[in-house]
Amino acid sequence: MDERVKNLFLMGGLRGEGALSCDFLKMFFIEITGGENFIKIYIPEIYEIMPQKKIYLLRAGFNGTKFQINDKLKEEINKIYKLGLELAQPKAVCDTYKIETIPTELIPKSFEGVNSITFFVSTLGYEIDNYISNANTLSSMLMDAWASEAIEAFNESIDKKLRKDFGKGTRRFSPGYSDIDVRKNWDIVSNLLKTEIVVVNKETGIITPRKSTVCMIGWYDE
Amino acid sequence: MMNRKDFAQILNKKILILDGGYGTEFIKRGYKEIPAEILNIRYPEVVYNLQSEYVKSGADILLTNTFSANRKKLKELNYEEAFEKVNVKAVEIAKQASKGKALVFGDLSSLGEYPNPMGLLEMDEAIDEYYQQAKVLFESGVDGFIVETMTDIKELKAAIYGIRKVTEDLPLIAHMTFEENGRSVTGTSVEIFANVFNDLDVDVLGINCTLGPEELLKVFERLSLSTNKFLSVEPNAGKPVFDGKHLEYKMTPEIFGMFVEDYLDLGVNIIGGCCGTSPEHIKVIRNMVKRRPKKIVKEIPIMYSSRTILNKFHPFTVIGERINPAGNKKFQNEIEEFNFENVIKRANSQKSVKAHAIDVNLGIEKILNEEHFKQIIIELDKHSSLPISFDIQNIGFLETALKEYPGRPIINSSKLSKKDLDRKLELIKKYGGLLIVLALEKEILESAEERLQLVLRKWPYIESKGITKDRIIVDPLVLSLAANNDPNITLETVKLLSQNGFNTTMGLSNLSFGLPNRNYINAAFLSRAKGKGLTSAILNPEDEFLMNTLNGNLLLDKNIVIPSKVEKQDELTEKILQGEEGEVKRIIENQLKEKSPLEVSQDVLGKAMEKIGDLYAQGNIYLPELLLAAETVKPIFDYLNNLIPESQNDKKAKVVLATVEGDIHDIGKNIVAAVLRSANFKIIDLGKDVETSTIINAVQKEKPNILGLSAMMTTTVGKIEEVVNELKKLSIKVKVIAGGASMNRKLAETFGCDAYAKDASEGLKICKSWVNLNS
Repeated sequence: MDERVKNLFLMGGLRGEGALSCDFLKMFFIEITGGENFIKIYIPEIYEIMPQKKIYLLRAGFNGTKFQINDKLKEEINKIYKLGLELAQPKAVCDTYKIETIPTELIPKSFEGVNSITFFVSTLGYEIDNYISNANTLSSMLMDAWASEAIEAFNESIDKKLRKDFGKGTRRFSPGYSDIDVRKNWDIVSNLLKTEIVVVNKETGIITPRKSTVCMIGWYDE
Repeated sequence: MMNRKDFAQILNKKILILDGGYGTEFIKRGYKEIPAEILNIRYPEVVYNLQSEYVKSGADILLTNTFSANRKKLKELNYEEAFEKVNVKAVEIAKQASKGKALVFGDLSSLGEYPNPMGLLEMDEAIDEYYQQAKVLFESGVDGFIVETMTDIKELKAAIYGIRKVTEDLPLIAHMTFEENGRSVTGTSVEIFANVFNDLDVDVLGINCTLGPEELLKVFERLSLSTNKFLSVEPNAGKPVFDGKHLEYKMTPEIFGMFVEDYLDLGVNIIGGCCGTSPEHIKVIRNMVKRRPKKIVKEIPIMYSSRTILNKFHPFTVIGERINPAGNKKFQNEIEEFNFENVIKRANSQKSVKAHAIDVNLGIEKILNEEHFKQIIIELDKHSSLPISFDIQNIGFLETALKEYPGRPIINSSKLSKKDLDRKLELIKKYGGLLIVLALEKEILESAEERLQLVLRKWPYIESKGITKDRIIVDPLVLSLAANNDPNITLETVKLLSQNGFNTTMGLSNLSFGLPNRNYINAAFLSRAKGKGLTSAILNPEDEFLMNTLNGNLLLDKNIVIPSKVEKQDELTEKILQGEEGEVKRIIENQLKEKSPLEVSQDVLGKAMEKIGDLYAQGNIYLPELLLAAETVKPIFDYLNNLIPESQNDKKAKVVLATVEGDIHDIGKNIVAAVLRSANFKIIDLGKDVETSTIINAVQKEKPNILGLSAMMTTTVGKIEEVVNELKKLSIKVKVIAGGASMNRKLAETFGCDAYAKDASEGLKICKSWVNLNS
């Protein structure tokens, strides 16, 4: 692995110690060319993974405004949000391929007519997983809800930036929906993006860390 | 230049972002030794750069770097001669930095000395200081004004009066600063601030400084509930940390940003940052504002206040009449000689017998001057007296008194003649408050109907001046019985006025003037008037008989609730739902004095949790609340279980739970386990990624009533079928319930499961129904 990537991982690993505003959190893309491999790692600004509280609460089961949330629970909800920001080690690997270079089994039917596809894998890292596995049910449920929405906010942010660069595109798509099997996650991560920021189980398509996604967007313009 | 109407239109559509801290940012950038405002003329590029960064971060409103650039403060810093230059330059820099993308608001704050009685500054002097600074900022072309970090309500009033002397056309934001208890340093509550400023000529009410976004939220909520004006807020970047040398604010932009949505929920229209906030904070705030403002219209009761006391007008307001020297030569002389000892004594004694306001009527106005009225208000303010009803005839004296008053006054009174009404309406428009109008133009009208018609005839004129009905109290006129007047005319007038939606008050003592046994007559009349709808009276609150009669009437009208001694039936359930573990433990320990641990566990705590389980199953509480309840009782069940012999433990039913092989996510299954435990099921949790053979073995060994299986992925749901087939093959009788993200009802049926549960709530319902069938 390239030294700079190693450093990035290392820095990501230090983030759990609570230093949210350090310089390494500033937005950047790092491009590394090692032989024929070409990797782009994107580390977002923390605010890019901040979900709306309303959406986080909705995911946690507060479906409506029927009741007042009591103080103790509010405290817990905020505590988890804050902890999530501290524990998350968000990063994404992203690359774009001409349609003719992509294996056909990775192209959804709904992408008909696109000229290229951007694939990206995004993750919040293992610290969140560890917390979910070890905390009490209430805290882990809240963290699970928060992290689900945080990864969604992260993807939205990447999505927005990509659309700004590439123009007209398809909806964001993930394997497991419609006609692309969830197990194709493995092909995308291992064969296409060639990244180790996540691990995919070839048999089930399950990705670890848990709060990770594989996404693709097709582009119509040249 | 912005006008108020345009500004209101923008605020109705969009949440605006204010900029962040200035002083703390300048210090961070190395300009610690020089007063922040002096940077405008010494290092304008430093101010320009910071403001440019704020605009780049998304600020819609830039504040001029003039927070302490009033003449008085600059004089203290030996920069008085730079007063005009500092303010002119500040507007120039902010306008350049805004590049037309942000509004520029003139920023004003404390003079460094409070007006009387909290400080030595004369109110007129304070008003003039603000007038002078506002004038320079206005002439330099600001789009509006903000007055912020004000800890004294009277000083804030001075600022508003000063600015409004310069212009009535520009938007004006008024901010106060509160401690965590919702009181300012000089004792004013958030509600009093709102109540006073709801009447005054400002566009936006807000809070800034002292507290971080988390602590400020509750204080801000109180403001939000107390006003229908636009709302703004600027919290600090958390609590300050002082290491003995430096003061720092360490809250990161992201943690700050986490609370932005809470403010949006409370209806904030403008949000920014105060001490310790940087352009990065503003950038995150901008990013977290993703919706339009939430307009919440609040029903605000009619209230009046002093600096520290706020009272509701309804159900009944007692205005104490005892600061009135009529017929008491000694008291008159004391007042004339500026000896207000007796005034304070009377104010305090009326406060102690629970009067709600005090009527100040100095009577002998011909021999007094403005200074008397000014000093008496300052003295009463100094002694934290009750709200005042100003019974002052001379209009100049009345204005002097109102200008000095920190609260929301009652003005007693105006005739309905145009001249008197115009002057009094002008005063309540300028100084705020409630106005008592007499049902009288020139002469006293004979009948109740005539008095009502007079009020109704005049009402549209009052309304046309922008005064709402809730600011007017009508006096039906009480005449002396001794002069053969019919008291029923007054009672009938009260009735007619009440029927027409008017609040009423009366000078009760006039009735019995010159008669013996006055308190009996007054009390009987007050009773009758209350029955006709009377909402207030000016009376002697130290007359115990009268006050008891009033309270008796209030009780009969159900305006007073007799405190109940019956304890709440489900206190335990409530405390569990609130997550108050200590309180729950206390209740349980009390129960243990009378019941055995098993009885307490099953009949008390178990029943409470069952009730909570039912509330959840019926959709009356949300899942996180149920889980909080479960976490709260867990240590207490453990405590009780330690006291119960194993043989006595008796659970409702046994459930084995597992997430099938291949699935490494099991939060859903964990939630189901917690929910079922709360409903007194015995849970054996096999965990995640559990092989079929392990599940079968566990079922054979534990012989559960129910087996719950969860599968997350489409690639793993087949494992549920494998388990069911294996159970059938081995003829093991157990009810199987399936769930999980990739499961559905049809799949569960196809696989031969007994039920499918889409979530923990449905799972609980199904398990309960099975157990009931069995029992």
